[in-house]
Amino acid sequence: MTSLRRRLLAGTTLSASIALVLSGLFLNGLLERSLVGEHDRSLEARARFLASVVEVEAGAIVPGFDEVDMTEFAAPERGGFLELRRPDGTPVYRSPSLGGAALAGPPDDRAATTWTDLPGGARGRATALSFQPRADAFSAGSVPRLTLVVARDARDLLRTLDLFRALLGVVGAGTLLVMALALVVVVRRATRPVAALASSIGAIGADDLSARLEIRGVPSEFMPAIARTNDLLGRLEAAFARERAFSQEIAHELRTPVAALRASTELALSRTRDAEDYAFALRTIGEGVRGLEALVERLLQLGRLEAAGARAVLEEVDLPVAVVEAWEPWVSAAAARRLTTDFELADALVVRADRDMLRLALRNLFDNAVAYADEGGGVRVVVRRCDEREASIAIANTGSRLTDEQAQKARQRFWRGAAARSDAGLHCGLGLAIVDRAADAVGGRLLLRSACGGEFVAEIRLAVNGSGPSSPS
Amino acid sequence: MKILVVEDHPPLRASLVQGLREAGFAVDATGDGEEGLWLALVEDYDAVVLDLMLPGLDGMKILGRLRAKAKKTHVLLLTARDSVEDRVRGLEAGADDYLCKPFAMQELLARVGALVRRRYAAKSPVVRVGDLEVDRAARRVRRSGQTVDLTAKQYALLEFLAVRAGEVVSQADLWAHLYAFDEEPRSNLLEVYVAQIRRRLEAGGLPRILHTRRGEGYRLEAPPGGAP
Repeated sequence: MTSLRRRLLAGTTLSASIALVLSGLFLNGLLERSLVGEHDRSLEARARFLASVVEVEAGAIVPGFDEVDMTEFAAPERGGFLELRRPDGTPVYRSPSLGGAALAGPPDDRAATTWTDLPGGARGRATALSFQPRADAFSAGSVPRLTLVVARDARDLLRTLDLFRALLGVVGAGTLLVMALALVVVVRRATRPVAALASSIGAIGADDLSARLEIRGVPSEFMPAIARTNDLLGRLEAAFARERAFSQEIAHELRTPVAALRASTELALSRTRDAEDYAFALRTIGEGVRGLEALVERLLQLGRLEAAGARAVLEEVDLPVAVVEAWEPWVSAAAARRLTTDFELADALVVRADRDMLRLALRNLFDNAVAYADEGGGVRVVVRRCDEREASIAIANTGSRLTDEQAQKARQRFWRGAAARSDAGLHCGLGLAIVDRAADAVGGRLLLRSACGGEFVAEIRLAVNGSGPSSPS
Repeated sequence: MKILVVEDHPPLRASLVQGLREAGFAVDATGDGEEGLWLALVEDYDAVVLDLMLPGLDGMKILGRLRAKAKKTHVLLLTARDSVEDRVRGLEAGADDYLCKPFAMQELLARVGALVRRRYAAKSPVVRVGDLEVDRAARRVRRSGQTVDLTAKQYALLEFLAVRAGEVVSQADLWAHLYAFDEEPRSNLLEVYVAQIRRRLEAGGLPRILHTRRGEGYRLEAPPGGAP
């Protein structure tokens, strides 16, 4: 894994190097072109001048160079070299600096001024000029086209160019070094907030999620990520707090029935007792175990709902049919308590809902209604369409011992009214919490209302077209 | 000795009552916080076993109101909350002891016994009055080195007089500490118990140690000059 700093340094150094090299090459090319071009122009002007003094007199070529200043061509060390040729290449005139040797160069002026090797091994520039010399009247008709090749020692030029290149190289390398050092400092400072951010994030542990990342002084590019991280931390903190609270609630709720079982067992075993006492103790323990079993079952249901809430499977459900099917297991229990049951069901009411979750909710509501209705009282079930968007299932029982205020609390986990407390364990305060969660999972909501001494009504409102679970609370 | 149990879980409440009664305590019990507070205020209990999570009025509020009314009854808090913070909060609110659920019945009885002893400023479980020894931990009575057999009620009565040795304890006080709130007092039952205890303590011609103050009550006192 490469670090951001190394990447930044490598990238910027490479870019700067390329830029410097390209700039250097450009400058070098520009200067070379300029200097060589000036040198060549001077050479070509000299060639044109020297060509202008060549004449043809009476058919003979007269160079005429002794009438002009030829100092630079006098000796090799003067740097000038000159050769005048006929079209077939035979020389007409060679400057003394050539020492009789041929002068290499462009064949004619159709080729550009070029680099050439000069006698003595020096490098020079050579230019060629093809021309027809002036002729007198006696030479008309026999004036050949001559080629004048003029070359000049370019060692000074080359030295100048080399010096410039060296200077360019040194300056470029120095610039690159300074830039690299400056980049190290700049990148280090620029990436300091990243290290600080990493340190802040590292300090946040599962034990304390209340910390948030500081936004002040952070580069603007990081702000969206920090804002989202803080939001995520907030949601994690809330989720952990809910889980801790739930775990504590469960531990608390389990301890009392377990304490009762332990106390009953220890008392039964603390001394020799008669059979009836042991039977009573065992019945008490059995009831306690059944209460714990009911609690565990409810906890599992709630756990499954919490986990499955995001995966509700919506399908077409005929509500009146589903309600009557869910009621079946409670028919005999209601009869045993002499309860009157009254169904007011719409003829047909199809909604989109998760069938299993709906059944779970209905069973818990029927369980509560039958358990808490007063003996000889009644249970009323109403299924109806509220409007084009919502349908309603309302289950009411007589003999409520809760006020409306207490009814609103009843959906809290482990909340129980006095009646539920006195029945020792089968009702552990989770039924309505389960219904609430199940209603939410199918995109509905649970409404509770109660009049002490009157009816307790639990109503599930469902979206007719089904909208899936709401976002977790 | 009389104990009040305030616990809303019926099976646990029943086990607590049974365990305490079998240990020789008179027990009143309720599952409601309001009723528990009322009983604690109007009756003179030797200790209260108080659950925290109660309907009506929770245990911490009951404790607060008891202490606000300067009621010094010893309270043992019984609760499922076992964190250090909860325990500290309970003790700082005025509880004398704290026991987490689930618990061993033996431990609960021992802690209640310790609270009752503390009420009578008795550090040791053995109360000596002259040559009479009442071992409250072992529930054993000895006089002049000889074990004296007593029934549970006889022992409870003698124990109460022993922790208040030298004081005149009224019949009403004895009733309140030996019988539950709902147990009707019988007019001469205490006299019968006292007579029975006296016969056993004075067997073999031993000097009287349990005295009657007519119209006032009973007093347990070592015979003058005869206490070893």
